[in-house]
Amino acid sequence: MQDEIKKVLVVDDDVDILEFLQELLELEGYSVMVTEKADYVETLQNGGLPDLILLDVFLSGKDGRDIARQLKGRVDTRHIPIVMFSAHPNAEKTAREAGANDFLPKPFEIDDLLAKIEQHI
Amino acid sequence: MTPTSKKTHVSPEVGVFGRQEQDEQNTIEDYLDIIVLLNGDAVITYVSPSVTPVLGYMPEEIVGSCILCLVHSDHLATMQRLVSEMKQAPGKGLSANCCLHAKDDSWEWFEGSAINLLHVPASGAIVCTFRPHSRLLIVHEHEERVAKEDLLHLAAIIESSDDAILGKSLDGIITSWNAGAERIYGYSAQEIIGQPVTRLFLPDRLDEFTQIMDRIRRGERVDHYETMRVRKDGTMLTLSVTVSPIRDSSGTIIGASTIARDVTEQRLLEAKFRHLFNSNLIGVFVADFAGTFLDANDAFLEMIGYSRDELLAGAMQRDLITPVEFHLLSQQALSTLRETGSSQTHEKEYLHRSGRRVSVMIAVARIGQSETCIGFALDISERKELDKRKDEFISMASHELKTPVTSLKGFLTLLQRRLATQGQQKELYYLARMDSQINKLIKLINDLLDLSKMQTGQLAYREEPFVLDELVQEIVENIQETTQTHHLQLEGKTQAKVFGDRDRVGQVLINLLNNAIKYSPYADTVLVHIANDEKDAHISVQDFGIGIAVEHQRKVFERFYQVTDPEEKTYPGLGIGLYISHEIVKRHNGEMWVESKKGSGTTFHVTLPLVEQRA
Repeated sequence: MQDEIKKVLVVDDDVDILEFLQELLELEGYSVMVTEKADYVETLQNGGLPDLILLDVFLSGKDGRDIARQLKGRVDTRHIPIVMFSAHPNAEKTAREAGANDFLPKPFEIDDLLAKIEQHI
Repeated sequence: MTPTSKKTHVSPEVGVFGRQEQDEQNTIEDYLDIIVLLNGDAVITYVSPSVTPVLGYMPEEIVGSCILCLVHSDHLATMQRLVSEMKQAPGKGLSANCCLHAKDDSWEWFEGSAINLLHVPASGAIVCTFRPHSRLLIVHEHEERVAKEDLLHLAAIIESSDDAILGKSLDGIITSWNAGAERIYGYSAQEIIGQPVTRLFLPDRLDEFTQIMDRIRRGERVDHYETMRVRKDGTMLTLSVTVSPIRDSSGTIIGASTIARDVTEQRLLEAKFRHLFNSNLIGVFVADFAGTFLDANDAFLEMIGYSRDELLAGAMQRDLITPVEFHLLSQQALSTLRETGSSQTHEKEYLHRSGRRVSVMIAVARIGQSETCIGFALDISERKELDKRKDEFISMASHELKTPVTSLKGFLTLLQRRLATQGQQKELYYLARMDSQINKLIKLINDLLDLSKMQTGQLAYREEPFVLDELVQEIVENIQETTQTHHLQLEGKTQAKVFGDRDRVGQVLINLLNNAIKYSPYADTVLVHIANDEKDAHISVQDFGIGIAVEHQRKVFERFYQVTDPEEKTYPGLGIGLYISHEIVKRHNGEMWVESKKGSGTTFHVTLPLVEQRA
């Protein structure tokens, strides 16, 4: 294991997805924080910032792309890599435009997800 | 000899006109009037050469003689009196018939006229002309013949006319009947002449006859009056009728002529067209090439929100009711119209008066060789809206389907990792099977989504060059990994680069390989062959399976097409894989076709243009 455990924040409105992702990513040795509340992202403070954010596009009332834009617009958070994922077929282009560093269509192979996290973290 | 009326006829022995028979007209005009100049004593000072053919004298034989020497004794006294009367009155003219003596002792009647110009220095003579009666007769005969010929002409015109031309007396008895009338009304001249014209009238329109004849009696004409008549066989006719008074030589109206044109067919056609135009099942308009709408039915007016008054005022202009981005399309449709006489059915939008867009399907045809056209427009806004909603639905449905599948796959992976640490091989095997089924499900969802996007032209393609051999090898290896039943044999190489969407081309290959495996359950090999020429890369996938009957070969590329022979029925599927593949290949400017023989296997061919060819 590495000296420093990397922190991954997962934001998705589907609790099942949050549940298996938390367990899988922890198995991979990450420190995982999950939330289905989009608002949570706005409360991120210095000191508690994750090393990478996995962000869903459609979040039941909130658009993940707005959150990405917001985070990329903040001086203290713009360095955090954001990987967005979505089951919506046309979301990739707009997600990248909103500032996402990478995109993964749902459903995905876990290995593909892990590769992308590894690449950006 | 006494002049007799017989002498007024041309006697063959005289042969007065015999020499000039070849040109009667000239004879009459130029030769036969004898012009004579007399001095104050009635002595001939000049006689025109025409005296020779008519009376037989040479001019010099009679110049110097008194004119009275030639006059028949019966007329001598009268002529003497006339000559002396005339001499007394300068400028006086007179005319009289007289008989002159010919050289051969015969007598010739003339219509003589004379004028006293003795006092006019330029002439200084009494100027006489003698026109032989025989010539008058000829002229008369000639005129008669011309008149007769004219009549024959007229009769021929009347007979050959398509219109019915008939004459009737003032009390309505038919007096003449041409072939046109026979054809239109069905009666022969023989059976109808002498019958009342009212036989042709509808019983409830008999008052028309009275009205028409009242006007004729007043000397008026009835012009292009459209009415109904009845044929001999009872069928109704629509006729356009012109009735004019016929007068005798004294100008008294003695009857009427009727010219009737059969417009039944024309009116029927017009009525049919009007009916179509006004049916409002579809928008119909007439416009000129400059872009002004000349006519439109209510359906069309309603479609674009204009009133009939605005239409009639010329306020409906093509460019005004067409959004700017469709102006080019309108111009293209117009030039096709000029070249071929009709435009292809195409979709466009109109700008409703309210500013709203109206989606229409339209087709336009040129009217004859004119600069006008007739167009048919179907409002497809609703259909478009439904299409949009359907697309949104499919898009949403695929989202909703994919979300649970994502979780399924996630938990499955979790389970696999746990069991892997415990070495539970059997359970791991089952999970791998589940994973493969989930992947099939994902592929189906993606295919359905692609299909919906293809129909609306929304499927996005990446455009970049890629190495074909690498892609083919990669896919063959991937599929071989999950295939135990068949050996996938890759032959040939190209080193070719093609331009397009690597994943989409890969999707085509995956589809062909999966089909090859699926439809050759009793074979153990699938051949993949790649090659290229200077223009295209060529990929073929060959199986040794059940094959496709000729009648199905073209249709397998159609959407939702499934071969339905009893044997094939046992192979389930949606019938969209080959359709999607074909569409993808078409989008890459490639071609796709099938070669197959029932019972001995199928080969699918795909060609894709090489990168170098894209310049």
